[in-house]
Amino acid sequence: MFNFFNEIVSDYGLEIPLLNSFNIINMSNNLVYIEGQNGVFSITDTKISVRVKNLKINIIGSGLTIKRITDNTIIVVGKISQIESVV
Amino acid sequence: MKQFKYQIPALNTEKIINKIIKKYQIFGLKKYQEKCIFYCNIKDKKHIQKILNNSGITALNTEYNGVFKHFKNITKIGIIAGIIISVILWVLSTFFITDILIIGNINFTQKQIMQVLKNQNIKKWNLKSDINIKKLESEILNINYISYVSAILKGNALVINVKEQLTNSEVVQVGKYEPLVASCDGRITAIKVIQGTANVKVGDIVKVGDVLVKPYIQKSNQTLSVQPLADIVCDVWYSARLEVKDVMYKKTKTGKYLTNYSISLFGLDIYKSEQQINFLDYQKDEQEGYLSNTLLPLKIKYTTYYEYINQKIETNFEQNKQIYIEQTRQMSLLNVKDYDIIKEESYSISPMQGGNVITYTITVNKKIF
Repeated sequence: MFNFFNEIVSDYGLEIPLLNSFNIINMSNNLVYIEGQNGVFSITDTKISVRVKNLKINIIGSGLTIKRITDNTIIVVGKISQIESVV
Repeated sequence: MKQFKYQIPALNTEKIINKIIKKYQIFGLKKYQEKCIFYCNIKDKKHIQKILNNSGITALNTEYNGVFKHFKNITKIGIIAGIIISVILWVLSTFFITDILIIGNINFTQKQIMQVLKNQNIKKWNLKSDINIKKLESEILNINYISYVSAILKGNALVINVKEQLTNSEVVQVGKYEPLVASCDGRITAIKVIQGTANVKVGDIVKVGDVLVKPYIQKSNQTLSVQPLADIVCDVWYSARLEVKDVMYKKTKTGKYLTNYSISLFGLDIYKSEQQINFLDYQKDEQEGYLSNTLLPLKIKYTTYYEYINQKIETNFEQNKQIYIEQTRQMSLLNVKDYDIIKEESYSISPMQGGNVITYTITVNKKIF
């Protein structure tokens, strides 16, 4: 079965070290899926910050809700305007 | 799955959430100014509550979500439904007979009463209203030996109370009766005839089938047929015999064996292995089965020949005498019933050609009638 991450790794994984910390998928600025998160920093209606390896990911927008969260994945829905990574 | 909703104060929410998600999933998490709402699976509810308690957080509100809103009421509904069903079943059961009791002296009439019930199609779980008590009583009263009958419906039970006719010590019934015959060999030790004519006396030795009490009496030169009744006590002998030969042969396996097999289709042999059997004494064991699960019914038959030898065993009768006697005693005891009173035990040893014979006799005093 097709797996997006596996395909990317098989194509480029030998040249660039991939999949060693986290992956982010943004679907039409309405849903963000983060794989490899280590916990949430802050949750507000306009900003959700999560910790990934050595970084902080800020999801900025409005009407933000955590659709689903597990020990290493998170799905955020809402009107997303910006995703930034902060060292 | 959004099965259970939690509403907690919006204080240190991130810390609590991080604790929870280490083990459990959270859904639909939304933080407001003063509260935070999230959902979890029902199975995780207790564990999450424990984490909140340990963190000193008191949930503002908790509730089941969606169809699970009614989850709490299911137990209550179940109990109420159970009570209602029980009451209905109890009310329904009062219309049926759940037990049939026959009481009174029913030495001779149990089967006949059961037959009457069967004829009238009366059995457990019949409707009470279907039973015609008057008819049942009159039918039972027609049975020989029954002088009185009363049938009532008590609760869910049909109680039939009967009184049998008392047997007269002199003459009761005239008709054709069978004599009392001995059911075992023995010696009469006591006999008290209640009805009939004694054919044996104390001290007589009787064999199976011998007539003990004749089914008639003589009265004024007239022979009247009666049901023979008597109390008879008898000494019964149970014997066992054991032959112990000086030299005995015991068949034992040598461990050697040989297997031939044949494959057949519709009873016709297709292949047969025929190894030569060189055993002087052997026993054959055959096993047959289908060769495969295919449509063709190929059968395979294994014939195994096990080699045996006759082992010569010399018995020392004098040395093992007590063991042989006890063996014979145990054989005799097999015929003795648990409630039999053993009166006497004896044994005899007699020589025979090439050995000895032990005969063990147990005398039991028992009431045969």
